[in-house]
Amino acid sequence: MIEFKNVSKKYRLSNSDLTAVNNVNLKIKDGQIFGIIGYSGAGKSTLVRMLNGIEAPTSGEILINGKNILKQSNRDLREERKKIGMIFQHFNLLWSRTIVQNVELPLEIAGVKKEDRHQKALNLVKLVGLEGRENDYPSELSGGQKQRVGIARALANDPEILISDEATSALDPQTTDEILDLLLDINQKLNLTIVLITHEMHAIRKVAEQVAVMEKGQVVEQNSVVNIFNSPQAAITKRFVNEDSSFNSDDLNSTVESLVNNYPNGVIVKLTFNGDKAQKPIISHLLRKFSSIEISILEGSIHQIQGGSIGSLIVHLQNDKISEQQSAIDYLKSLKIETEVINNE
Amino acid sequence: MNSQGIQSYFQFKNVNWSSMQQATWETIWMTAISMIIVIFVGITLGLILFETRDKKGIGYKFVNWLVSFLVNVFRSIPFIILIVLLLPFTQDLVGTIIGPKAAIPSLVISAAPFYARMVEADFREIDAGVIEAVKSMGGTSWDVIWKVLLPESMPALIAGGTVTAISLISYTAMAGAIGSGGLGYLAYLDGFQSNNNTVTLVATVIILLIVLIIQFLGDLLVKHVDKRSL
Repeated sequence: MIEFKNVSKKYRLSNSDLTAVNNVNLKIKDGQIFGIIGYSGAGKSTLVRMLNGIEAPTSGEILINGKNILKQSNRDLREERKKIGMIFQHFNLLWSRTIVQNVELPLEIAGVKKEDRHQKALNLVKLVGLEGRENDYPSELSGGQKQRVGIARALANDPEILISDEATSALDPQTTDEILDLLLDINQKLNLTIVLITHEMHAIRKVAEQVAVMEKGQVVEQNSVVNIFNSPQAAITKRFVNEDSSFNSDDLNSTVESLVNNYPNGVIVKLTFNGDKAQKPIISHLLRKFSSIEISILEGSIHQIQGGSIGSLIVHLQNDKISEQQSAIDYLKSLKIETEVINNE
Repeated sequence: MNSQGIQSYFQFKNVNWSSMQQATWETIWMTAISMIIVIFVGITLGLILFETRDKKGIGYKFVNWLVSFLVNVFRSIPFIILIVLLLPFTQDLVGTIIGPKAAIPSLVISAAPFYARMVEADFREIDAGVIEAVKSMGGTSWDVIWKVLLPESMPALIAGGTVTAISLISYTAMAGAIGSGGLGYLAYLDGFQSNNNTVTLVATVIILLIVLIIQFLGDLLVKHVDKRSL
């Protein structure tokens, strides 16, 4: 269990004070993937750097399994850091070392014997899927492969916590997904707590169970990922949810516009399903019940997220009788499906 | 003896080859010994400059100021003046003020600050993220020095060392003016003062060869240790 209690961090700049982190309270359960999302400058990086003591908070305390990370000697703090692995946006590998030597680095620092650390590093290289590349140098790898080395290196000392600081932000979407899958896999295999910092909602949706949204040093919203997607509260959270490319409705707006023009009679309705409702044949129920209604599907998607699935469907309903349309919408609402009429002239 | 005209460069019978060989070895010896000391002193000073830079605390600030000051002073004094200035110091340290041995203190004191500044700049070029990564693994400051700073800046350290070694060779030639021995001394004594242009030319060619070989070996070594672009 990781606890941030009233944690603040202020920097003194030449002309003013900057509050990078402002009174943050968080609890992160063991074995959880906990996302922290925010735009750059929101204070997320500073927040996690206080977790491994690279930055010291101005006030407040940080407890890892009840132990205050700050009230330790430098030596104990270094020991504590060995239990916290960290991966970075720009990988931060040593170009002067081969892949396996990079993975051995934390073991060297921990004083592990030469043969043991080599064997362990080889196993880790294998775990992250880079078998055969052990003796290559980082400059010979792609971005995604470099991050795999970063992950292997972060796991070398059998950490209890893994901090991922924008680890997928420098990668293309395909590679991002591969790295996220790897993190999820490691989380399940090793029962590791992962603190995932990102500015991409996509990463949160894919792997995190809980998420905290940060803005200007403060946590403005914290909830399970399912709830955040279903009912974002803060304005910034809504923006993040909308930014997630697959939930993005830029293309849709033009489609909606042309449909409104072409079918002035109908209504366009956005349905959001969550949990088990996403798997039910709701449209066919609707058709059977209201046989005179015309339904065309404009867009639909189902996303698996940690702890459930979210489906969204945008449909066009048309019937000459307005009352029939309305009762179809009421029927959908009665199924406890979030129903939003988009063009309500 | 004919000292006029271009043909005076090619009077090879006037060259005393055994003293030329002797002088060549003296130049190589002076350069090699002072270079070894310069590497250790330069890296140490560069490290001190790097580690005390931008740190809070009066102790760090004072050390940084002091080392910076000394480095700047000795880097600014022209070598020919420095070597004269250091004569009493050399006498006390090595017991003589003539011969190749006597040139070493001035050579080191002149070249080490020069190299130290390069080393400091090389360390500053290293990605701060890599240093942070080692700290996040629980690494000590020594871990950072031995596992990050030195290996990650090695190509730059070698390239800077090559430049320093080459300037050391020209310093050894200047040291000839106060009787250090070596090719510069020979060119001055047998070449200039005895009006023997061939000796000057041969000494120049040998110095040129040494410089080219050092540059070639330096480049080769840089290429060997640099794994950034494979």
